[in-house]
Amino acid sequence: MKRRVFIAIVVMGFSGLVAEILLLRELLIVFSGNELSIGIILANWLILEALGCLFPGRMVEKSKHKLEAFTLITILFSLSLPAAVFLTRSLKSIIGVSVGESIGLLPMFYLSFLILLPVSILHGALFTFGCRIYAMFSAQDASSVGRVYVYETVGTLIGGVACTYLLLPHLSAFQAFIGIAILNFVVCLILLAPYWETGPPQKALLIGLGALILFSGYLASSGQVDKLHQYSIQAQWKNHNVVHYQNSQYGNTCVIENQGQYIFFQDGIPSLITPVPDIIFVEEFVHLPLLAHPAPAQILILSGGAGGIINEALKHPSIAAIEYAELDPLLLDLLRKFPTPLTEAELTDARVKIRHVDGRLFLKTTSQSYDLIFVGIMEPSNLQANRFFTQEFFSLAKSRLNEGGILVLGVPGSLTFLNDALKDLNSCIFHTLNSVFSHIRAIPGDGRNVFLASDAPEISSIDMGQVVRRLNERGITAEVMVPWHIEKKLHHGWQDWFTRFLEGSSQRINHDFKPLGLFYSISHWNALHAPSFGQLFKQFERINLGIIFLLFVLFLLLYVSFRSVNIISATASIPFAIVTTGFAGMMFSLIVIFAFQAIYGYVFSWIGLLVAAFMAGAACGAMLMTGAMARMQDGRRFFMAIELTIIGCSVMLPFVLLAVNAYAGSQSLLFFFQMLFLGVSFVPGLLIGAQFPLANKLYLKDGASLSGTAGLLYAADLLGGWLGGIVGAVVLLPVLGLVGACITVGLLKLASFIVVAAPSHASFVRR
Amino acid sequence: MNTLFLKEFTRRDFLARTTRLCFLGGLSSTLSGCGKTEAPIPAPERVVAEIVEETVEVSAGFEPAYLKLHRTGELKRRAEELWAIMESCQLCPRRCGVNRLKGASGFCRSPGATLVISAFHAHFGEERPLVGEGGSGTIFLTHCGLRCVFCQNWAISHLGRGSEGSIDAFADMMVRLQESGCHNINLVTPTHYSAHILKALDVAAGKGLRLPIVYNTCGWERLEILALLDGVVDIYLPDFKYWDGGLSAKYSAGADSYPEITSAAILEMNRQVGVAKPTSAGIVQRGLMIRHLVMPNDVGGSEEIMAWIAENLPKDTYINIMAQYTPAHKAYDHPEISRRITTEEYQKVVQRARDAGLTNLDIQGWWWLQQ
Repeated sequence: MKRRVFIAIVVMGFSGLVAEILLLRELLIVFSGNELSIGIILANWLILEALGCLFPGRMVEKSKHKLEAFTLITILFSLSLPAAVFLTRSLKSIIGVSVGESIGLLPMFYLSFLILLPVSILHGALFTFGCRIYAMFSAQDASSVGRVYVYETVGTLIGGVACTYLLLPHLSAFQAFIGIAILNFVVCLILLAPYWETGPPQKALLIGLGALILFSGYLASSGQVDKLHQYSIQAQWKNHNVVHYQNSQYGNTCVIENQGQYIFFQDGIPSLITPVPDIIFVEEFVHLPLLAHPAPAQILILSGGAGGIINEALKHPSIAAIEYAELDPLLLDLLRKFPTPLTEAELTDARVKIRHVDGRLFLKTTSQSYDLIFVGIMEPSNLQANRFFTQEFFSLAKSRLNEGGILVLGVPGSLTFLNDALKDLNSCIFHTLNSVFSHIRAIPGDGRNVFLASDAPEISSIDMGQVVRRLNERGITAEVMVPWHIEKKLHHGWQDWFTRFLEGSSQRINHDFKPLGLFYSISHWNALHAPSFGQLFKQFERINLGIIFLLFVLFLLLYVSFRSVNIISATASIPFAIVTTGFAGMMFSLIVIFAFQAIYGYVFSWIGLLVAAFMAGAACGAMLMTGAMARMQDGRRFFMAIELTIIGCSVMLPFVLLAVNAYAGSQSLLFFFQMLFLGVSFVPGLLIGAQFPLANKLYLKDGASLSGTAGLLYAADLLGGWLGGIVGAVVLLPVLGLVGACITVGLLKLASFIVVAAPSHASFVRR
Repeated sequence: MNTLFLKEFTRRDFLARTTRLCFLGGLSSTLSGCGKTEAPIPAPERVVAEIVEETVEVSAGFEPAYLKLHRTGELKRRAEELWAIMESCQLCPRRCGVNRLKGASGFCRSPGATLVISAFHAHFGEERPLVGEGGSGTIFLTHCGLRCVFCQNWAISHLGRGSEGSIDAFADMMVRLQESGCHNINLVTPTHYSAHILKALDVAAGKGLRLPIVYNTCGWERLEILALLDGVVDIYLPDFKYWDGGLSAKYSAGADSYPEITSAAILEMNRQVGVAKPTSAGIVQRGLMIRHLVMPNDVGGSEEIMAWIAENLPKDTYINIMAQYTPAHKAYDHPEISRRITTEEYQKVVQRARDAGLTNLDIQGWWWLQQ
C-alpha cells in the first residue's frame, strides 16, 4: 500500500507542475504577458495552493475516510484542469475584451485568481492529505512529511521535463490535461482497489473512477478532445479564421487569415502581418540607418527580421550578407507554411543566413563583424529581453561592429502620451548607449523611438539631403521613403525635442546584473494599464541597501519587543524561517537562471537543466534529512546550521557568478563553468530541501497535528516562493542588482536565524 | 518625371507645387464647370492673385482670429457660454446632458469639468504645412465622445490617461509652445473641452499668444458649437471618417449621425476659414484641412467622401489621405477591419479623388507615385 501512496504522491507533484506551466501559458496568451503578469499568475497559484494546504487540507484530521477524500479531491482537481483552460480561452468574450487588447492589472489579478481558485486550492489540499495518508501507511509522523516532500519534488521534476519536451510542443492543453486526468484516475483506482469490499461508498467511488477512465479514454480516442480544443480556440479568437495555433518551448503562436493577409499573434500579442508589414515603422527602422552608412555590406539582425525588415534591407545593393538570429523556429516555419511573396523572397534569398539561436549568444560566439546590427526586440519587458538593452550587450555589439558601424534598436515611444515612466525608460536606454558609444541619434516616433548608436559622427549629422542622395544613388524604391517623409523624420527639431523629453529623467545605467530597464518597462506598462498601482510601484525605485538594512534592524527590534511581552510565540520562528527559506530558494533559482542567460545566452535546455538541478537538490536534501532525522539529537542546532549555510550561500553566490562572468570568454573553462552553474543550482536546492522535513519535526515537537504542521509549513514555503518570485524578479533584482538582491536574501536569512536562535537563548536565561 | 519627383522633391518644391496645383485646380474647375458648389470659388486668375497677396500679407504680420474677440471681451463671453453648456452637456452631438460642472462624466468619460492633458510639445510629424521649421504646438486632450473601436490612441481617448490641469496651466502651455518657436497651437480631440479651450485662449491671448489655433477634431461637431468657434479658430483640421451612418454606428459607439453631422460641420468650417493656403514659408495659418483614413474593405466609404468633397467644397481643399490604418484596440472584434489596407485600396481612393478634380491632395508615399 505504501508503494501505491508513493506513486499517488509522485503523480500529484507531476500533475501540479504540468497544470501550473500549461495554465500559466494559457493565461499569458490572454493577458499579453510581461514579467509582472507572470509574477501575478504565479503569485495567485502559490497563494491559493498555500490556502489549500492550510484550510481544506487541515480537514483531513477530522475526516474518517482519508483515502476516499484524497481520491475525491484528486478527481475534482483533474476535472478542474480542462474547465480552467476552457474558461481561460473564453475569458475575453465573457468580459468583453477584444482579441489583442490588453487587460489591466486588477482584472488580471482577480481573473487569474478566479480561474486558478479550484485548481490550486485542490492541489494544495492534496499535499496535506498526501502527508496524512502516507503517515497512515508508514506509521511514521515527522519523517512522513519529509518523504512526501521528496516524492512530490520528484514528481515536479518529471513534470517539468515532460512539459517542456513532450507536452508543450506536441499536445494541446486539452490533450495534455485529459492525459493527466486519466493518469490520476488510474492511480486513484489502484490506490482504492484494495477497499472494494469495505463498503458502498468505496464501491461507488471505484465504479465512478472506472466510468471516468472510460469516458476520458473515449474523449481522447474519438477526437472529441480535439473538437473541444478547436471550439475553445474559435471562442478565444472570436470566430476569426484561425489557420494555425501551436505552442513551442518559447511561446504560443496563433495565425489568423484575413482576405489574403496573415496576422501572427505571439503569446496573444499581434506581432506581424504579412504581406503588409507596418510599412512606416519598418522602412524608417531599416532605411534611415542603412542610408546613414556609406556602404553597408554585412548586416546582423537579432530577432524580428522576417516579415519586412529583411525585405527592405535587401533593397540596398551593397548588402553582401544578412545574418538573422531568431530563437523560436516555429515563427519561421509558419512563415514558410503561409507564404507570401514578401516572406518567400526574404527567406529564400541567398544572402540571408538564418540561425535558430539566441541573438545575444550568437553575437557572443560569432567571429564575424558587421556594418549594422539591428535589434528586433523592441522592449526590455522581461529579464530575457532586457539582455539586449544593457551596457554589457552594447559593449559586445560595439566589439562586433566594423569601423563606422551602427547599432540600431527600438524602444517604446509616444507622441501622444508623454509620461514619466516612458521618459525614464528612454532615458535609461539612451544613457546606457551613451556610456558605450560616442554618438547617438534618436528618431522619435509614435509607438517606437529608434536609436542609432555609433562611434562614427555621421549619424549625428546626416540630414535629408544626404539621405535622399544615397536613396537616389542606390536606386531604392520604398513606400514611404520619399523626401517629404524623410524630411519629417529627420527634422532638426526632433533633436531638441528629444533632449527636452529626457530632461529630469533617470540617468541610471541598465546592466546585465542590474536590469533597471525591466523596472522602467514595467513602470511604463503600469502608466498605461494601472496608473494608480504605477504610482506605488515607482516608489520601489528608491529602495537601496540602506533601507533594506534599516528594515532588518527595525524587524529585529520589533521581534524582540513582541517576544518579550509574549505577543509572538517561540514556535512562530519555524514557519517564519520556512517563509524566508522559500523566498531565498526562489531568489537563488531566479538569480542563477538570470546570470546564466546574461553570461551564456538563452539556451532552453540549459534553463531546464538548471531548474532540474535545483529541484534535484531539494529532493536529495529532503531525502537525506528524512533519513538522518531519526538519529539526530539536536534538530534545532542542525536547523540553525542550515540557516547559516544559506546565509553563506547568499554571500558567496555573487562572488561566484561575477568571477564566472569575468572569465566567461575562456573556452577552456567553459565546461567547468557550466558544471559550476549546475552546482550553484544544486547546493541551495539541497539546503532548502533539507530544511523542510527538519522544520516539520521541530514544529511537531510542540504538539501540533501532523497535517496541520505539514499544511502550515508547506504554505509558508509557498508564500516565501511567491514573495521571491514577484518581489525578487520585479523589484529587487532590477533595482538592487545581483549583489544587492543576494545581500537582501542574506539579511533576511540572518533575521530568521536570529529569530530561530532566540527561543533557546531565552529558555537558557530562564534556567 | 516620377523619379525626379521622388528623389528631389523637397519642402520648397512642395510649396511651389502646392501653389501651382491651387492654380490648376481653380482653372480646371472653371473650365470644366465643376466649380458650381455652394461655397464661392473665385475665378482662377483671382486665386493666384489672392494667394500671392495673402502670402505677402500673412508673412508681413499675421494676427489670429481670436485676438479681435479677446480685445472686445467676446472671447470671454463665448467661453462662459460654452462653460454653461456643460451644466447639461451638449458640447458634442451625443448631447448626453450630464452636469459636468457638478463632476458628472458623460459619454466621453471626461471627469466632469476637469481638464486632462496627456502631452504637449512641438510636433514635427504632423502635416507639413503645420510643421514648418518650428513644429506644430500640439496639445493632446484626453477622452473622446466618438470612441472608435480601432482607435490607436485608446490609452488617452478611451482610458483618459494623462494629467489634470487648470485653465491657467493650459494657457501657459500655449504660451510656452509659442516661445519655443511653434507655428500654431494644435488642439487634438478638442470637442468636449471647447469651453476650456476658449477660457485658456482668452488668458493666453492676454499673455501674448499670437499663434493660430488648429482645431484637430474627429469632425463630428454640432453647428451650434461651431458658431461659437467662428472667429476663434483659424485652422480646422477635421477627420471625415465615414460615409455610411450604419458603419459609423457600428465602429464608433452608435454614432449613426456621423456622416450627416460631419458633412454639415465641414461645410460650416469651410465657410468660416476657407481653403488652407500656405504662406511663403510654407505654413498654413488659416483654412480647412481635411483628414481621411482609408480603411480595409472601404468601410469608411472613401470614394463617396472624395466625391462629396469635390462636389461641395473648393477643388483645392487640402485633403490628407492617410494610409496607416492598422488594427488596434477593439478592431479585432470586427473581422472586416482586422487587417491592413492594400496598395490597391489606397490607390483606388487617390484615383477617385483625382478623377473628381481634387487638386490639393496630401498623398502618403510611393503608392501614389507608382502611378
